[in-house]
Amino acid sequence: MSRIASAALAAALTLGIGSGAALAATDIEMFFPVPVEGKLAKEMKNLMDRFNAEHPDIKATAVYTGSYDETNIKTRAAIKAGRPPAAVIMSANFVLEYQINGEIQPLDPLIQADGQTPDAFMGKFWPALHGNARFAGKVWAAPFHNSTPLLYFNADHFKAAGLDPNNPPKTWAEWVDAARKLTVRDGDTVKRYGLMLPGNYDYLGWVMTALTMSNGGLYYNPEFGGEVYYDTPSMLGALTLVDNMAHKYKVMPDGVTDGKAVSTAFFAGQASMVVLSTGSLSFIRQNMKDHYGVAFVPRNLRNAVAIGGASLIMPKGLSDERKQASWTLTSG
Amino acid sequence: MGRANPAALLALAALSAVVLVWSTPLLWMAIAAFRPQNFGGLDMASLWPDFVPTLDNFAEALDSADFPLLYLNTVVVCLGTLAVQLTTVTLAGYAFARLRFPGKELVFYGFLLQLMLVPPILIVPNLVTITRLGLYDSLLGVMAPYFASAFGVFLMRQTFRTIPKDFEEAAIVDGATWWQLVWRVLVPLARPGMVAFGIVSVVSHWNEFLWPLMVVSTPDNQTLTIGLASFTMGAESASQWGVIAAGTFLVAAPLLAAFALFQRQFVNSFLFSGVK
Repeated sequence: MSRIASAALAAALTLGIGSGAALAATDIEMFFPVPVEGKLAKEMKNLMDRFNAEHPDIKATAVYTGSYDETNIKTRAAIKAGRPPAAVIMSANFVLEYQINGEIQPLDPLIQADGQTPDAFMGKFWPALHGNARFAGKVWAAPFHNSTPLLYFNADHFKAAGLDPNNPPKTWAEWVDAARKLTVRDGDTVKRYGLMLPGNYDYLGWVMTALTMSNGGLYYNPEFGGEVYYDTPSMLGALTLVDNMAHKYKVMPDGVTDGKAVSTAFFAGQASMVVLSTGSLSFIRQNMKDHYGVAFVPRNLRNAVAIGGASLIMPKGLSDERKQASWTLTSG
Repeated sequence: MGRANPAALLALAALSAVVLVWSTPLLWMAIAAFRPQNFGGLDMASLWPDFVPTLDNFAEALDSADFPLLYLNTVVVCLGTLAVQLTTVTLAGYAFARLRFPGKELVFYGFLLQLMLVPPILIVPNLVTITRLGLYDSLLGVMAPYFASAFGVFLMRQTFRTIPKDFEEAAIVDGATWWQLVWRVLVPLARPGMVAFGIVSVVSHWNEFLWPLMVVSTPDNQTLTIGLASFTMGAESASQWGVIAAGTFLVAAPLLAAFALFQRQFVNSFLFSGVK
């Protein structure tokens, strides 16, 4: 989890507003996936214990629910079975789907009941995150741990290849150029790749979104969920860039490279530049031995990436007490 | 064996190659679990134990989840499921093998048809049923959908049909009732089939992930696979392979040990029943 996300979680848990003295504690459960490395499951439990100690009228349980996709399946199944969780940390990709299906409730009434306006509530988050949380005229989710793709590069490799680590590639042309200089070959075999992109589901889609947006286009219609632009010139241009990197310049491995293999190769000095989530930053900081730098994903026409990560949503069908307790947990 | 038989040598070479391919992940897991944490080199992918073994990975894995409780829950689920299954599949297998009743073939093919269903498509309907029965978020809820096993019924039917009727006829002459027939004559003779089914059942429920994840919410009810995933799955970052390997080792160890101990019986059962 990025520092921002940790801070947001801590804030959410410490600033939670008490919902008045109820006699019996309200049991609520929050589903959470583990999108990042390490003992998050344990840390989540510690945070919940703290929250429960501060709110004697609420008994919140953090429920580990697998990956983003499994969390989605479990949430959907639980809603269908009539046992909706009080809150879910849901991959930002799926929030729209729940809204379209009418399975989550807007947070506006709860925000207003706290004497806030939706504008003031959303004002607490970076404007870039608003699109994921506030659409169709209402606030449907509270940004939780959000992320974007980021270009990580090995500064030592940059120096050795005659590139300036303080001036990483800003455009696609510079990017291709740097990747070609950074690739180390021994005959036909590549000893070190200039660039690696995660190719596994659903990482690749996210990276392709970023490249399409950098190419001046859009991956889907943000105004109308479900309309996608897979055959637009901007998308094809992004695809051509990746194709050239892998097959024309051979500076990137072809085939599918798992996100974990990408970061491992970066640590091992086998890849000089990688595109990974901002969520990997603390993990890379802990484990990277060489000097490294981070930069925006290079642009062709504009600097733009898609927001990823997850938001807190509240399913429909909760009792008023559970709704209020869930809001206490969510808000901050 | 003076002369080397070329065909036998070729078979040996082919078998060795298959063994190597199949054992590589296990071997890697065992080696990586004891390898000191190190991101600097390629050595994490190496199968060669060129290091001083460490238990750090195990310590970290054990610290990441409540393993005693996870073991207990998993054992309860596996053995509880198996106990009920053995009762149901034996009785149903007997009915399909020996009894005569109208619509027998149709019902039997209905059972077989159920084998064609991919379990995940039943997640929502099963969860709705489980919730109505008040079993949501309980170990019983994890077990309940497996109490009747189409595969087990089929296997027991086939096993019973290989047993000559003479035994039963002799027992009937001695005045045995139908349940004495099943319990004292057929079950002892069908033991290899039951053992084979037991192995398939225990291994699949031990390794099952998606269904327990759907049913169980309270951390106290989680099974090993969920506990393992909770600290080894990270979608947006690299992996601590040592801890993953150690955790996987802990999850797989009881089954590996059981297989090593009862290898002969297992192999015999599979040979007898034709299950692969």
